[in-house]
Parts: sequence; structure tokens; C-alpha cells
Amino acid sequence: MQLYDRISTTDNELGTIKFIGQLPSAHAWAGTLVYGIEWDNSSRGKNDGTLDDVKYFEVDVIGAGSFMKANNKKICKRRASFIQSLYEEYHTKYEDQEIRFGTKIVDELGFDKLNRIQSNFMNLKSVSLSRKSIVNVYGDGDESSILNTLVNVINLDISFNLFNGLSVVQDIIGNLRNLSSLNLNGNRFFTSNNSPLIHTNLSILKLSTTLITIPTVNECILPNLPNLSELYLASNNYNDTDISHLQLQSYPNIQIIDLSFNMLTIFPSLPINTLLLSDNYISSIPNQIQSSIKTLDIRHNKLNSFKVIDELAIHVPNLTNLRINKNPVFEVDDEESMFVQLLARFNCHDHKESSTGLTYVNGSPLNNNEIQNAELYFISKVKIGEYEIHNPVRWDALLQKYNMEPINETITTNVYDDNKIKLQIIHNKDHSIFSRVFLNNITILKLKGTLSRILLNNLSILKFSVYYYMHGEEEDPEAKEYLDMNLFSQINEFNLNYNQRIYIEVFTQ
Amino acid sequence: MREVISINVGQAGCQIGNACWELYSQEHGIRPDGFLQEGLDRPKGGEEGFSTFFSETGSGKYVPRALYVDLEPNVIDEVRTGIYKDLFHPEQLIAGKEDAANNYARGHYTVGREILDDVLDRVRRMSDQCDGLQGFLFTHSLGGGTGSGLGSLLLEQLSIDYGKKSKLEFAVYPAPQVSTSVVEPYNTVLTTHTTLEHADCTFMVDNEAIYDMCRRNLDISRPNFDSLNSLIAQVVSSVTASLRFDGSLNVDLNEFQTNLVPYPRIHFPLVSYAPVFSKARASHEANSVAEITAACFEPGNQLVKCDPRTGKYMATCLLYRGDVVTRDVQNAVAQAKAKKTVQLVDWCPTGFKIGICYQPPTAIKGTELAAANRAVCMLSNTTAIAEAWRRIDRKFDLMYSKRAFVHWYVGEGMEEGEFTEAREDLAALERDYIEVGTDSFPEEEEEY
Amino acid sequence: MTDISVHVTSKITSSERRISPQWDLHYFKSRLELITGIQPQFQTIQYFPVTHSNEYVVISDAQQYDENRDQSRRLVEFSIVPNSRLHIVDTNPDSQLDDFDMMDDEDQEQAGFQLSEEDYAKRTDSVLNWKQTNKLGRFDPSFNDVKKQQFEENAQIAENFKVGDRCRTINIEGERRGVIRYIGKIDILDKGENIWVGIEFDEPVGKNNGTIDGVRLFECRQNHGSFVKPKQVEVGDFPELDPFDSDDDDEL
Repeated sequence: MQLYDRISTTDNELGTIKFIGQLPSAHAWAGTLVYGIEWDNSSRGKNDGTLDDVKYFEVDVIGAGSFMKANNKKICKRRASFIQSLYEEYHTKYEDQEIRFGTKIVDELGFDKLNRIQSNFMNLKSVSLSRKSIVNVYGDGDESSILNTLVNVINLDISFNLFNGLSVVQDIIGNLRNLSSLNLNGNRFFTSNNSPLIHTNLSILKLSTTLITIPTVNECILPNLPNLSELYLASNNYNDTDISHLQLQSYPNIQIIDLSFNMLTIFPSLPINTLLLSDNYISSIPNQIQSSIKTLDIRHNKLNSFKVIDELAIHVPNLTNLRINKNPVFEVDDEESMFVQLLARFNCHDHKESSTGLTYVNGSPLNNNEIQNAELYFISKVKIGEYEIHNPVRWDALLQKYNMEPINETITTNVYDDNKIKLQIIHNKDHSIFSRVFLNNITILKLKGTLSRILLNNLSILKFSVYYYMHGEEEDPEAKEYLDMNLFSQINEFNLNYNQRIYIEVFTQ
Repeated sequence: MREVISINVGQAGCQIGNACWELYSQEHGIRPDGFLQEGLDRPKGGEEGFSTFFSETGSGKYVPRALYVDLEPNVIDEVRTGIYKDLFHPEQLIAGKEDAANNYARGHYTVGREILDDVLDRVRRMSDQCDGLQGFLFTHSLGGGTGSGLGSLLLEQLSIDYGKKSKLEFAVYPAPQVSTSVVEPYNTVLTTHTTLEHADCTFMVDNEAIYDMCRRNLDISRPNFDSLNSLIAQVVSSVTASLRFDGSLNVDLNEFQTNLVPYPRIHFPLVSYAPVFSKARASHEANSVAEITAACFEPGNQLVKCDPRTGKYMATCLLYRGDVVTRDVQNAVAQAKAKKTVQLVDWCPTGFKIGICYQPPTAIKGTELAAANRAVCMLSNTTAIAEAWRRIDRKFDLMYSKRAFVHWYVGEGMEEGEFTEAREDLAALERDYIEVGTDSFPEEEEEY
Repeated sequence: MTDISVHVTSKITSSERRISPQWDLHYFKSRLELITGIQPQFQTIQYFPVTHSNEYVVISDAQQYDENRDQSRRLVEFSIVPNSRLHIVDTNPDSQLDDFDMMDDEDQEQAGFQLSEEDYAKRTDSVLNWKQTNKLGRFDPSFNDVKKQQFEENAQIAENFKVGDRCRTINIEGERRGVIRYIGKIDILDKGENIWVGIEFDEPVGKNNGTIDGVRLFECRQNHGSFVKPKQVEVGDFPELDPFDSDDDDEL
């Protein structure tokens, strides 16, 4: 074994050998060969490559290192070739294993036929050899011409094997000329073992959980894959600086980039159609228009205000499909209010009628009814100051859409007309809520008259009373104050707030 | 040729039908207007399989062997004006003018009767175009008036007219928590009683289970009927894949009965499906044969909410599709066995079967469910599904003990005796499930 | 004017429905009755313009029910918007609807229709009848023989066991070692049909602590106890396995 060789264990973990040697003579393990290992699953590790204050190796992820004796039985012996694994999986003769459930033997139908078909590698369109401890292309006695029989393979999955460089991968795919999708997730690509991937047809490349560096992506992945359209780079520990160096500009064929489960804090600037950013730490949107992005997944990030949501709507103007749930800004709201907020803040369209504008939100196709419903509700909420919008262009468009008067004051600050007050009227019988704006100087007599007419079927004003709770101490009997002790007092004589709740109490006979 | 005619009845039936035919078309390379996609000179899936579900016209257009039937016009009007309007011939879309008002009796006796001859006539014409009709595939709801009433009326009539031709159903079972109408339990019990001897195999789908899958697995925050139906369509497609493509299990409609139904009344297999994950997550979700097989034994992947761990299995069929090798399947099934979740009733004539179809699943455009390069659908006839009947029977009893709403049914010419008769039949069905689960020799490897 | 789609909810129902603005209120209420089970004179209709908001207005109050007036009012007057919600409140003091919602009442189990043993036995299309006719399950003449044979095989094996013996499990979830603590029938488990062996494992790899459904059969620590059939047990010199016996597996 050599440094940077990959290992697998009996409990299904993968790791990289980063130290080979002996521990000091004072140590209990002295005299045996020891491996220092960095585990792919960092929680499997025990240290940072340091033992008794001596540094034996560096780790890429803190806490991912540990030491094992080279003869530890947990380290799998199997180190297979691609050809060997291919034969094991696809060129087997059918053997009925007679799996029994009680007295019943499992009936395996058409297995022998399938095996016969698959044994002729020319028939294979998809090959999956995930987690097979593959380290190289050929082993002893493997025929090199076999690769040429895989000419019809379109989809190759060699994820979570023991590859430690791109050169081996190139040796495999170089012969698979119809290959269109390649899954390399869970392998590692160390600089000394890399050479550029070259392929004319490859369009989908999965490099998630590989920790492949952005310079490697720029040098070895992007330049010689002219047909590449989808690149998956999830769970690779990238930060904002890493991604700022990703050079996509000269590759217009690339449509989809997956950067989920990384460590981004700023929305990256990438000329791409589909950007997958879920499970990062993004909290801000830079002041720069990104017109190429149509599909965006930004679930599970740190977007924590509607101001950021509005910035997203402004700076990413051409979205058609957005996934944005599970961000802190929505934590206080239920699904429904989140939906209203999103539908109104973005320029949404019915998915059946339009190919532009946002037509899918959080996985649901939108229709005109729900868009209108949400927009009108949103407008009413902004007008009473419960919601804020930080996107004047969008606000104007909303008002214009429904032929509404713009409100003169700035939307974002709660400056209200001094002569008017909005009250929320709550009926004590059924707890229905009704909002209405009143002039500040009308008498309580007039207020009750209006309430009687619009809410109580012209009930005599002597048969009900109106009250409110002072200082916002709702339901506190101490704070309860009746408005109609003197019917000729004016509303503005009470300490009423904008949106004050006023309760109607209908007397029972 | 072994043609299958699909009959979609009522609002839910027609909407699920839409999602299914959209997916079938994509899987076989048919455009929404019925012609082949660019670059194809014949439909995907081989002549034999393809022609079970589609017929070809002289002009090179392909037409689904399907009928849409509803008592009110709205849903069918949407088909007539929708993207797939040209896929169907106007004769295949039959709509009445007056709905069933959630009432089985209206669907079955009064309003439904009026449309019956028309529907049977169209079925006759479609079957005349078949060389060797093998049977019918129904989609309908059990709780709605049209789905339950007219659905069962049609099944009855087809039994008379087409004798022993197979009749399979996909039936939407009322969600456990929220009813769409107060009389859902009545409709469900009545239709189940009527169809019990006519349907050969019924796959139930509970919208609540699907809703939970959409939220949990696909992370759709507000699933609507489109989301639910496209997921249902994917499962229906998996069940019918071996009829439409080269496969090794259930290549014939009546094989479903042979493989899954030990006794004609016990014909409600539980359906599970895996993997269910969203497109955005597809690149890093695990979907090895072992993982998707294990997922199928999880209650979260079932289309009806019930707990199979409490029941015994009479039959299990695993239908794999896509890039699957036999060794992996054998290992996955051996692992499932080791977990001891499946206890087969040893004296039943049915058993444990595995089939493989090479065609991988296709993703429907514009929906969240990702296309995996392999999938598995498990059909298991388990006594646990009796839970679903117990639930609906109890709801029926609560209302019927007070004769609540019974007059609505009597008003449509139904006799009250049909309620007691139906309820007795369902009580017997519950008993049947208990009876079928007893007398099995427990597996030796028991541990308590 | 075209039909619109609205959500109709009541305490026990929820559904999406199409309504026509041309309908009069009386007709609409008769349709609502078929959905919700609430009679028109007891329907109070709350209109929620936005489905997810708690703001609503009452568009028809049951306390002012007037059939003639309802007939003269058309839905268009209420400017109901698509996708909104109409919640129907049942004001009938004698309403039984709540009783039909049994989700949180498990006690109802026994209250329903019961099919007697005799009536079930009379049915010719039943599974019971099928089993009888085709001699399946317990109606199979060999059923009791097999059962007896299994019992005897197990009983014979168990004769060589005694409480306190060291043992290991075979053919069942790998090798686990322990001590036999119980041998015999267990009524609560299978009505005393089989002989069981209760084992206290050395490691917490069992299913219980020596009790089954609250009945104690022997004493041991939680998850150290299990009951298996004698065929799954082998007695002999099986000392406790030392989990730390191989220092090769150490890791630093």
C-alpha cells in the first residue's frame, strides 16, 4: 500500500491512507506497521493525525483522522479491477439460491434470461458498479479488449469505489464512446494521480462527496468535455472563495450545477440555467443581476428576512422554478403564509399558460387563481403594515395589475394618515375578524352605528357594546376598557393603535 | 395481441387517467398529438407490448385504448381542451350533464343508468378493434358518487358482457383522517360489496399516504392533486410496465390474479414503491438494489396506510425495472428475509415471486419525482390491509346505527336492505382476512 | 360567468368543489348538505377569501335562516373568488355529526356491526368455506401431525437442556451466547402450544428482560432476555466471548 491509496472497511466506511510507518518504541504498537487514515465520513475519525503530540499526517477535514494497525481485520482485503467487477456483476451464470420464506421458495422469474442478455456486454446500456472496492481498470489476466465491448453503455455508475485519481477514470471512459452519464461520487482525486477527462459525448458528470478541488475542476474536468451539461459537485466542502474561482464562462453548454451541501454563505455568481444550492449557509444576495438562472434550489439555507427574498426576486429576475422552503425567514409562518409571501414577491404565472415567469414554487405548479388570491391578500397585508416589501418595482406592478391606487407614503415605513385609523373588529360570538379604516374623529355613536349596519344586521346599538384591551394586553380583564361609556366621545380620545383590536359584545336577553 | 382497455371513471379516476396516459406516452415515445417523437420510426417498447395499450390508425397516429367516463362535464372538458386533447378520439370521452352528488345510488341506479348504454356501446366498439382482448383496467375512487356507483355498475355489466376477461382496478381509498364528503364510508362499503365478486385484483391508493410521500420524500410543501396523481401514475406505470415492455412477471393481466390472489375475495394487494426522491436531490440519493428493496418494506413507501408487521403475507411480488442484476436482487431479498418482516402463509397457493423488466422508469416533465435508473414496486397480499376495511366499516356503523343520510339513497330507488347486505359482506371480508392469517406454521426462527 | 373552484370544509369534511355563481343560495345549501351532512337551516357559511388566513365574513347565518330569501339570492352577490374557502358550521344543537368523527375514539371498536360465528360459517363464499372444502390449513388432515411432530422434535431437544446451562443460538441472527433461564410452555405467548427456551444473553442482544406482556418468567437485565424454540439453541461449553480479545481491531 502507498500513501493516498484508498481503503474500505468491513463496516462500509471509506478512507485514505495518509501515513504509513511505525510508532515510537515506547508505544504499545511499536514494531507493527501502522496506517494513518483520513476517513471520508469525518465522524468516524478520532483525531487530526496527531498522536501523543506528534503530527503524523495532515487532514482535510478536522477530526477525520485515526490510526490502525496495517493488519487490522476491519480493513477489507478486496482491491478489485473494473473488469473483474464487471464480470462478477454482469457475467454471472444464474444460480437459484433457493431463498426460503418459511416453506415457500422465492420464485425468480426470467433471471437466467436476464443473465444471458447481460453476459453479452454489447447489450449493456447501463452499468452500475457502486461500492465494489475498485482500484484500477485491469487486474492480472484481465483482457484489455473487454472495454471495447461496452460500446453501447450510456450510463456508468462507479461511485464509492477506491479510485484516487482521474487518470484511471479516463482509462475506463476513453473506450466507452457512447457514454453520456458518469457517476464518480464518493471517490477521491488527488493531484498527482490526475489527468484531464476527455470525452466527446459525456453530458452528465457526478462528482459529489469527492472533495475534488475547484482548480482540478477547472483544469481536468471542464476543458475537454465539450458536451458536458450537468455537473454535480455537492458535499465537497466548498466555501465562497472556492466557488468564485470556478471558471464556467467559456462553457455555455453547461446547464446544471449542483453545489448542495457545501459551505457557501453568499449567493454565487454563475452563468447557469439551473443552480442547486440547498443545504448551504447562504444569507445574502449580491447586488448583481443574474439573468441566466431559471431553476433555483436554495432550500435549507440561512435566508432570514423578506428583504433578502425581495433581493433574490430583483437580482435573479428570470426564475421559472424555485425551491426555497426551510429557510429561517419562514420558520415563524405556516406553509400557507410562506406560499402567499412567495407568490406575491415574485412574478408568478400559471404553469399551463406561460413558459416565462415563476411557474413552480416549492415543488407545486402554480395556477392563476392561487396567484391572484395570494397577490390580493398580500397587497392588503402590506397596506395595513403587516407585511413589508422592499421591491418598489414589484409593488408598483402588483398595484397596477389590480388597478389599485399607489399609497403615497413609502411602503417600507409605517407612516399612516393621521386622520384615519384602521381597526380590527372581533365579534364575541363567532370570533370572526373584520378590518376597516375609520376617520379618527368620528364619535363612538357613529362607530357603533356603522358596526351595526355592516356586521350585525342593524342590531340596535343599545344591544351591544364595544371594548378593547389597553397596552395590547389582550384577554387581560384588568386592561379591558369599554369605548361606549360616553357615546359622543371621539375615537381619537382613546389610546388606540393602528390595527387595534376592537371587540363586539352582543348582550344576551 | 393481448389488448388491455383502460376505463377511467369519475373525477379522481379521470384525473389519475390523465397522469397515467401522459406518462405512458412519454415512455413509448408518443407526442401529445398521438404521433411519434422526432427521430423514432416506431414506438418504444416493442410492437407486442406497446399495442396492448395503444392502437395505431392508418395515418401513423397512436391512440390509447382508453375510455373516460364522468357524470358531470368539468373534468372531461379539461381533457377535451388540454394538451392531450388530440391524443384521444372524441368518442373516448363520455360526460353526462348531472353529477352523482357524492351518492353511490345516483351513480349506480338513477343518473348512472342513463349513461350506461352509451358507455357499453363505446366499450363494445373498442373491443371490436382488438384481436385478443385480455381485459380491463379500471381507475376510480371508492368514496365519490360516480366512482363508486357508476364504477361498480360498469364492472358488473362488463362481467356479464365479457365473462372471464380480467378486470383490474386502481381504486382511491378514502383518506383515514379527512373525508371529502360525509357519506364516503357508505359509498365505499356499497361499491366494495358490489364489485367484490367482479374485480379480479384491486390495488388501493390512499391519498393521505401519497400526500405524506410528496411532503416527506419529494419535499413538496403544498402537494396538490397534480403532485399526487403524477406519483400515483409512476406507480401504476411500474405495475403495468411488464404488460407494455419486455418483462418476466405479470406479462398477462390474469397473471396478477394467479400470482397475488389465493382466493377471489382476497384480492387487495398492498402496493409499495421505491425510490421516491426529487430531481434536485437525485444525484446524491442512494438507490442501490439493496436500498430500494429495503425501502419497499418501510410503511412510508406504501400507498395505503397500514402496518404490515402486524399481518401475514399470502403473496409478495417484487417488480424491478431498469439497471438491475440478479445477484443484487438475490442479496437484497436475502437481507429482507433476515429482517423477518415477511411471514408467508404456508398453506396458501400463492408465494413470493420476483420479476425484472429492463425498461427504466421515466420522469414526467414538470413534476418533482426524479427518474431513477432503477425502481422497484412491491405488490403484497397481506392481511394488514384488512385495517383499511375495519376503519371504513366502523365509520359506516357509526352513521348507519342512526340511519343517518340513508334516505338520500332510498330516495334514489335503492333498498335499505342493500346497506345491511353490503355491511355483512364486508364483515365477512374482515373475517376472511382473519381466517386467511391463521393456521400457518410459524417460521422456526421465531424469537420473543 | 364560469364555474369556479373553491374549498369546502366542515368539521369532518374537506374537499375541492366547483360552484356556479348563478346558483341561488338555497340550491347551494342543498348541495352543501350532501357534502357536509349539515341541513340547510343549520348551515352558517363562513367565507374565507384567502384559504389560509383566519379572516372571514359570515355570508349566511343559520340564525336568520329564511328559505324564501335564500332562493332570491344568487352566489354572484357574494363575490366569491376562486380558490377561496367556504367553511360550513353546524349550528344544530342536536347534531350527530360529531359522533361520526371517530378518529380519536378507539373505544368505538366494539360498538359496530358484529357478524356472528354461525352466520360467518353459513356463508358459502367465505375463506373458511374454501379452507374446509379444499382441506387447507387446520382442515388439512396432516396439519395436526406436522404440528405434533414439530412439538415432539422440540420437546426432545429440550429434554437435554436444563436451567443454568451455557448455550448459544443457532440459525437465528448470528451467534449469541448466554445461559438458559427458562424451559417450558408459555400460555401468554401462544396459549401453551409450544415449548420455549428463555435465555439470558451475555450481551444486550435480546428482546426483553425475561417478561412477556408483563408476565415474568425469569429475571435478567433489559434487552438481555429472549425466548426461542429449542431447535434454535445449542448447549455446551460456550464461554462468554470477550469483545476485546483481538487487539488487532484497536484503533487510535
